[in-house]
Amino acid sequence: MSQAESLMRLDTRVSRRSNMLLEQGIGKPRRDKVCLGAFAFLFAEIIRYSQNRVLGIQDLEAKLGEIGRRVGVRVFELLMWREKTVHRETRVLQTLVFINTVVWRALFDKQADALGRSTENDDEYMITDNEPSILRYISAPKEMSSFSPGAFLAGVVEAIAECCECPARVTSHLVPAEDMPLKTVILLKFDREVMEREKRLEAGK
Amino acid sequence: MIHALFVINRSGGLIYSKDFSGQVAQLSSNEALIFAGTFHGIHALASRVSPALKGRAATRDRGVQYIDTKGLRLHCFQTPTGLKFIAVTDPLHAGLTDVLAKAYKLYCDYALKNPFYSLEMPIRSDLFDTMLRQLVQAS
Amino acid sequence: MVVIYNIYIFDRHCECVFYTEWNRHNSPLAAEAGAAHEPLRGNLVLTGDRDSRGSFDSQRPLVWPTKPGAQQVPRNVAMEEEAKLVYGIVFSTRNIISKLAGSTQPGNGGGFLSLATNTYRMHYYEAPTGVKFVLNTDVNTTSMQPVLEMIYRNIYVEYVVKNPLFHFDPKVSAPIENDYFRAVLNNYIQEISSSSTTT
Repeated sequence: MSQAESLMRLDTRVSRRSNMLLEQGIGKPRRDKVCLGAFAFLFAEIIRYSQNRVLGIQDLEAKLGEIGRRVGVRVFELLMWREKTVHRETRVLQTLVFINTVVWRALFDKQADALGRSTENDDEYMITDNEPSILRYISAPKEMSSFSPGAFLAGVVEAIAECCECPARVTSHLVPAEDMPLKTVILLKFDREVMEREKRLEAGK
Repeated sequence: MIHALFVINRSGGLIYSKDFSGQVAQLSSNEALIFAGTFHGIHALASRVSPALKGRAATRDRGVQYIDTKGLRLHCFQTPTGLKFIAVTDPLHAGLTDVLAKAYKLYCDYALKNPFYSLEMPIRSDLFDTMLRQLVQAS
Repeated sequence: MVVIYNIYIFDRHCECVFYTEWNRHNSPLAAEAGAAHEPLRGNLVLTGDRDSRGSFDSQRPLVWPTKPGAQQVPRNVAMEEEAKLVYGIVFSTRNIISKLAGSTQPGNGGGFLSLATNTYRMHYYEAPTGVKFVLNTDVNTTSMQPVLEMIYRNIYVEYVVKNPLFHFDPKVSAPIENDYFRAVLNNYIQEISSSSTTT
């Protein structure tokens, strides 16, 4: 028996016996929830830590985006492993739907609230979340009103888009609405090559 | 109807004050600070002169809970961590402990979990403002 | 049933000119006097000048300040301290209440009535002359204003102010040593404590 096999056997044995979160296999989608309070404290510390090491708001958003990207790559890997029915998307629209539904459900246990195409530019798409749970307690002071804590989410989305071979520049924008002070729009601007490839694929159909 | 709400940190500093009805005198920021410091002192003194305690600390006095006046009533809720939430209402308004406990919960959520809040400092959070206003209107 | 613990009277010089107590278990006076005199009746403890008065005084609660002549007992620091604390509480509370009520009048313009903790309630009455009465009761007794006003009008004024021997010097504060006043006040408080109708 190879070492890898014995390790796997060990893994399944443990997961069958124990209900501990860390000892469960990663194969199945989790129904366990993470405590939002615990996450909020951790996330707040991440923002505070980053804030002490940057010069301005854009810098801070870039840093959060970088952290989000690391999360995104791992989430993508995990979802590919879990979702047996999903094959890797390469088309723009399917990628967006994948993010909108599968990724959002895995991360936040719900679908994103809206998915739309920009009316101004063909290469811009928007994912809207009316109340991103990870941002629920965050309220930036007046002098930082342009700061969008969703930069972290933008990073996640950017990494996933990249993994789907549809690289895009992703930004997040806080668009407060009535009763939805944290409504966040994530704007994906796909690279030129992606849009050209899309056109070719469209024509070749 | 809650006219105003104050939050005092454990060292007697004012970290939040909000007027909801406009029916009580508006305190200038300096006056509000004095109010907080004075209240903090009264609270500490009042727990030391209790005539009702039997033996040594058989029942501990936990400081001021209400102050009644001709036109107002002050309710004070002290958290286990030493924070004080003070509500100003009409006289003989029923107990507000549950409402103030909810305000404490809001503080835990929207101040402590907000990355832009520093401990013991004044609370400047739009979300806290909004949620607190909703709480006051609902009560 | 009203439980009345004690009463403090402060003059305009912030001095405690009279103090007496009932039903109190942790008295700073008893700590002092208890060493010399054993309690007589339940929790009522004799005052330091028992000998000069004989058995007539044995039914009376402790008072403070004691007569200067009868001061064999050394100055009671704990009691003095407590009187200062109590004065500090009512004085500061009165002031912040006036601020909060937007009152610019001197004195008790904000209408401070009482203050409650989880173990007792402190009632406050300020006479127009600036004499302050502080009465501590159990938590559930909400309004003692009529009682305090009664004490001021019909006991303090009658037996202290109208007493020809009342040494009134606006510049100096003098402890109330009036025996008659003490007796009437004591009777009145006993009456209120036992009547269940007063709330």
